[in-house]
Amino acid sequence: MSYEPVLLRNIAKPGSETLAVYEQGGGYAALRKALTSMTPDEVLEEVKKSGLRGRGGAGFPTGMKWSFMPKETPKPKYLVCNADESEPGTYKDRLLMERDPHVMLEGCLIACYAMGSRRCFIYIRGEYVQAARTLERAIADAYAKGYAGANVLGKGWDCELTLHVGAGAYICGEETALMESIEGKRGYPRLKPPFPASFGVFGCPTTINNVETLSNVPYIIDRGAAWFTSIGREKNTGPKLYCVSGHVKRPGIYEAALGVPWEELLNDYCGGMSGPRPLKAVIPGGSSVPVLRAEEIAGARMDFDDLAARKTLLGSAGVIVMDTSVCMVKAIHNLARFYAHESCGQCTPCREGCGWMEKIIARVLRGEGVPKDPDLLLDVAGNITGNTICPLGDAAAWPVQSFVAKFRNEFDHHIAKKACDVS
Amino acid sequence: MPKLTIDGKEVEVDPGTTVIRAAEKAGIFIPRYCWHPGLTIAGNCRMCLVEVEKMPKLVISCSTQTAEGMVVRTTSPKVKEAQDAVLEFLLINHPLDCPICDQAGECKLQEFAYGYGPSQSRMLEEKTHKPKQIDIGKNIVFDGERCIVCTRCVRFTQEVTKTHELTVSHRGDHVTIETFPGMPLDNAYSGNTVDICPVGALTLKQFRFQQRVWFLKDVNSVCAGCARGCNVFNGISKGRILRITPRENQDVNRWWICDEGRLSYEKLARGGRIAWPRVADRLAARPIPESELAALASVAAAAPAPGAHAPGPALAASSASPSPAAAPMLETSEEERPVLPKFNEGVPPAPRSGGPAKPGETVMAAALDAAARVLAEARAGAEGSVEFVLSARATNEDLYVLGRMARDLFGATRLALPAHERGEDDALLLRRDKTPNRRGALAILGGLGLAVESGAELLVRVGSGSARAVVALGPNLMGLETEPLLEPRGVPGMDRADKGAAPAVSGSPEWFESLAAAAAGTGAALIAIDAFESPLTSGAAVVLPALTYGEIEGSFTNFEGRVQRVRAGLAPGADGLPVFRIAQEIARRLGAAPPARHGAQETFSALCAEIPAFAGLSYAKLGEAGAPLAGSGAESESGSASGSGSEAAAP
Amino acid sequence: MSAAHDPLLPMIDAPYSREPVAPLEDPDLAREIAAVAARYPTKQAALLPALHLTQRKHGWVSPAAEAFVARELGLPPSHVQGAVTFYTLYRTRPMGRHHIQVCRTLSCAISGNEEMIEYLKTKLGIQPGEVTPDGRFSLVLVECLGACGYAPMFQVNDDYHEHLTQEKVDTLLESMK
Repeated sequence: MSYEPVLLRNIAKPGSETLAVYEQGGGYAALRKALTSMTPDEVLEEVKKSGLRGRGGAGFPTGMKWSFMPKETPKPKYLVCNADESEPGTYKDRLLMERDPHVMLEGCLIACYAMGSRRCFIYIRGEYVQAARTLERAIADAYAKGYAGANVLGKGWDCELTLHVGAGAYICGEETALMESIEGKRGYPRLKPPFPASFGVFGCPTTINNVETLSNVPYIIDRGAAWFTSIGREKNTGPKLYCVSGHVKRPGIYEAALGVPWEELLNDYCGGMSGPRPLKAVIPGGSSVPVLRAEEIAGARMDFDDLAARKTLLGSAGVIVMDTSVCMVKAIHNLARFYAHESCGQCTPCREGCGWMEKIIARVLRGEGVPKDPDLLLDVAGNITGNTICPLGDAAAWPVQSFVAKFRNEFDHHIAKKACDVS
Repeated sequence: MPKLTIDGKEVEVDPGTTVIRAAEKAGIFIPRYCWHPGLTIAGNCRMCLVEVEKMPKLVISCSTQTAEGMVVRTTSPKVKEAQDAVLEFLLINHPLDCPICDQAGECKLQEFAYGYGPSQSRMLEEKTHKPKQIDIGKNIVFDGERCIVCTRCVRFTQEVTKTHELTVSHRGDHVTIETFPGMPLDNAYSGNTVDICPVGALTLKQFRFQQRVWFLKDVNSVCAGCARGCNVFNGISKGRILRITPRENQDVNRWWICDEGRLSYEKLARGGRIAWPRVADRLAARPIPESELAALASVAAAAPAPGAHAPGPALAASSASPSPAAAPMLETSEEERPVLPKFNEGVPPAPRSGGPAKPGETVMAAALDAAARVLAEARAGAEGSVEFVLSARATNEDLYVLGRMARDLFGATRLALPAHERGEDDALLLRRDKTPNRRGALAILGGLGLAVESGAELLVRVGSGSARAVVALGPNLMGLETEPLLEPRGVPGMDRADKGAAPAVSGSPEWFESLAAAAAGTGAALIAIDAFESPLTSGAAVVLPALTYGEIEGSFTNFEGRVQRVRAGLAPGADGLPVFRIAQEIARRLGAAPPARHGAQETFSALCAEIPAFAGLSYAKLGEAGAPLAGSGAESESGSASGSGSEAAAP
Repeated sequence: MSAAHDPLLPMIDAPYSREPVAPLEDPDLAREIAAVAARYPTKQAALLPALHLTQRKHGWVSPAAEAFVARELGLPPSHVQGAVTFYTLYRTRPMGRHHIQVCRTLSCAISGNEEMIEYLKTKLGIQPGEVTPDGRFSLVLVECLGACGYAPMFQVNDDYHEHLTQEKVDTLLESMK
């Protein structure tokens, strides 16, 4: 592996979370460059040319998202940094925030500059107490050094950074629910249209970006879009953090060029399977994406387009590795219970359907399943998709559909034999 | 003006119209739960999903804006599949309460499940259990298991009453509706949440388990509780009004009524209904022989009181003596047939003054005779006036006939119109004026050239002995109670024998008591017309029972000048008559001959012909939504169809 | 009656009760909340921060605390109750001095947390959702904490404890008085 870390280049340094160490490593030079020698439009163009795609799960081109913000508007424009990381299997943003908070802050500031925003809310999940404390300290230090607040770097440009701590709701990672939560309400996703760029938080034009996405921005400005596109391949550019968990020898956060081959990630980075049992299944992008059988992920490139071609998604790059010791019925029950618990309850299909799917699978696990149950699950999941206010419905349905479709035999066994043939 | 096609029908709408409203305009119904035209859009039930060409997914029609050239399908296979799915989801945790649920028969879950949903259940699991039969407010019971969390009730308390009692609590399939401890759903409009709840999650305590709704006959009417005149349905069964629900009228009450009006029918069941006419012992309640009738009429005709106007058609004297056939039988019109007291069949009880009634005579006729005799004597007397106390709870028709009688037969120039006020006007519907027809009364009396005086002045005149008779409408005509104001407002104090006592506020029970006492004390004959007993009627010389709310046809004029019909749906609950018929009968005995078949409609026509403010109106013109007085400004809203559903402002 | 048997779901004390709730009195906290509220375009936006401050100081969010926050921010108490019952981090009952939150989601579950949950139940003698009689520990099962590669793990109050073994768990619990 000749890959040179970018996003993780600082974290090994002692005191990496401090401003001093960040500056020593060249931190905030990109901000200075942007404010000094680039117009906001030029910054935006650079990010567009880089091909950076959102790292929170949806993979939407970041530059294009920024360009949706209105140029002229009487309302204040806001940037929201989505640090609500709650997708099962995903823990990369936490690492960045705990060990290299300033890169994200610098990215926020540059993004604000590009979009004409003067205020950024950083919405961090309430469980990440240490990361929140680190960020608070980092923000205070940035203000003290003139990187944030009034008259940043003496360039006559203001930018406020506000840390806002969440209180335990996966749904608040959905951008419109996040905005509702910032506004002090239950985290209910909003109907779209209107879209955040026209009517966002406090009714003002808003862009929401993920922590990792924003952390790429200083590097793009510092090293240029061309450098960024040299990593990965067309439409799948830049460095990527992979969160690996489950039955590997060395679970953890690894950085590689976007599109690292699966075998390289598994074997070279993670040391291969943790035990003698072979690989059974992988969820490549956080629990909401369809599961892949071992043979389906063989030869994959871990990027947006390759995984999409395999009928799954890169998502948040939360790679959950399961060996043959895992009962897939139990595994999907675990996820179904997660979505039932996290559903906000606003719309009918998700509110009732997620709970129903969990109950059906629980009944199968108890040994009370009936032969129609797998098809019932597929039907219920299909009735949820496309009919909900927000993607959580799809996120709950796709795992159920993929687990049932790909591990049907295990369901049938549970139903017929009232026992598990795995563990 | 975008033109779009829905199910093959082309429809043109105002810009900003949502698809669901456009469909309504095209006559196409899209099933829905959470959308309500009087509340903001929630979009959570997903029942209104439709297919729009070129859009990849189904969209909810309640929030999707129409666009030029849009092609919408509301019955395509994809839509039907989605509707079936949404209904299945709603039903899986819904309790099997239909046999004990009030909503049955008007439940949108039943209706849409039948029309759009699955016919079999696939749900084998234990249903989610939630708080049930919760006493959530003074009038409301909440059932969390029936609730489909459409949030209409929550939005109602946020946007319409702005009292914020309700919130959605918890998450996922455990969400339910809750109140904060110590802050129950007790606002003045809480009953509306029961109407807008599509299922039986919110039920009205007063109606719970009373009647299956398919047995109710809904009669269009208006509430008589205050000057707003909210349009209502009187839900009638078993010979009673069992509930009152709002009837939509965008110019008056939009979709709402207040709790007090909603429950006003309960007061009709309280004791104290005046069942029979009564005549004081000293006045023999005997039928007037023909010879005496002639004498009465000639006395009345020969001595017009000072200031009398020429009697109009309603009260014209056609001959010196009315035809024998006219007395004592009551004439009825088609319209009045339901009003004909059934008590008059068979042998009625003897009038209180003793003596059996002869066959063919009725108690009411005898009492009317007594009243007429009293009034004729009073009129014929050399000195002393006949005073009139009207009521803003009487209908336009009642007031017109009584006013004509007062003016034309007794030369009255001023009469009292007691006020019944309580509380304050609020921002939504409630009016301080608790009478339904004060504006009508003032317009009619003004149009007749009659002045309205304060109750205090009237009491002074009666108390001074200058009145020989008093014809008084009581305060309980519509079955509602009179409550005094805590402080008198704008009514000058009056001299009473016992100075130092607080002046009785006009319209209060004390005032009516004072009136009865003053009449008794000075020997003035009090003729009381009311539906329920009160201090007025207990001391009166002649008590003529009026028919009350739900038993009468007529019209009220609300405070904005809108004239609306109040309708009958009940058989009379007493041996009484509508007030205007009582007045017509007395007037006829005094020499005015009513034309044949003079019911409420004809009386209204006569009213409209004479009173300028009512010019051009008729029952046909009033229709179901009422019509404004001339120059009142109570014109209809232009009511564009493109309202986006976020018009949650108070009417 | 509360909706749920699931110990993860909050139980507000007596919703629907007719008994009025007196807001708790805490002028210092009120000042802190006002300072936070000043940083936002609306006072309502300070709701989550205000609830966090209140819980940190008073240990849990009682109806009196909800009424207090509602008053300080000019919000309807019902709105505050709706928010408190939505977000799992706000405790609507007093919890133990050491509030053990164990992740039960997939990655942790297949990496040893399932076994650890059973061990904790036995060792502490309580079921998830309960508090030990001496008020020392409470145990709840929570969803993904973002420590998927560091299982077995749990969070106690503010702190993550990762790469746990039975011995480490014993030592940790011993040290938490």
